[in-house]
Amino acid sequence: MKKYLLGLIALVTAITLNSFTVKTSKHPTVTKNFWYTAYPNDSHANDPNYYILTGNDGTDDPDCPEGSIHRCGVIAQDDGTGLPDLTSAYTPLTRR
Amino acid sequence: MRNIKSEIIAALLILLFAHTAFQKYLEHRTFLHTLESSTLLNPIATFVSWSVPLTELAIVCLLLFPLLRKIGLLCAAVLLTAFTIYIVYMLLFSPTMPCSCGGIVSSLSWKQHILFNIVFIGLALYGWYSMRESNDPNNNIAIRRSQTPVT
Repeated sequence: MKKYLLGLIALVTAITLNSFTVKTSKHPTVTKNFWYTAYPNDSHANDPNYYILTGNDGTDDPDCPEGSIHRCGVIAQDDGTGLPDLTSAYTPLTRR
Repeated sequence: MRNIKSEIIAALLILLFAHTAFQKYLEHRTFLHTLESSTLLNPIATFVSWSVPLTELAIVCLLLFPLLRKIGLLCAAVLLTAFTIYIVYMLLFSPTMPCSCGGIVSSLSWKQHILFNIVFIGLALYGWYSMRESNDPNNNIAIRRSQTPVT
């Protein structure tokens, strides 16, 4: 049993740590940066499912690079599920 | 013969892989979207989104059992190397850099993440190497001190 002790402790710790890595900011007025994943197809620009948070829980800039004038991302409120709330005011970002 | 060094290294790798695997499953939709936004992995995003955490959990199982730990350490090094190559590729060729790492790793910068991976690759390889040495009969003190031939 001693052979498995360290490994089991590590496994239990990992499972416990997952309880402490939920999103910390659910404040409705905090805005976050989201990438638009369907570039250059703008037809899904109003669908929140085609956006993803940038690094560091949406605090990193999307850093839209050079390219066609299409939707690159948005700065919007998090709807609580990691997707942008496009029903409230938001700032669209385009690749220039 | 018990190898404490490899046990500690295996425990650290179990902690890392179990945590990131569970995090990827808990936030599966985010992970899938991140993969779909990658030009390299977009065609196989769904497959990768399920198989990567599954592979991590399989490595956790290998590392838990002493008899399979050596293979687990080697597989861990290979998987971490693959992750590092992917990050370097994205840094060099991708216009956007989403992170789908999972858990505490998400809070690292890209350079820190690469360094983090390299450290754990080194640990995994060191653990594998130290298990190889401890299994080598030429290093077994009991055999060297034995007066009678060991058959």
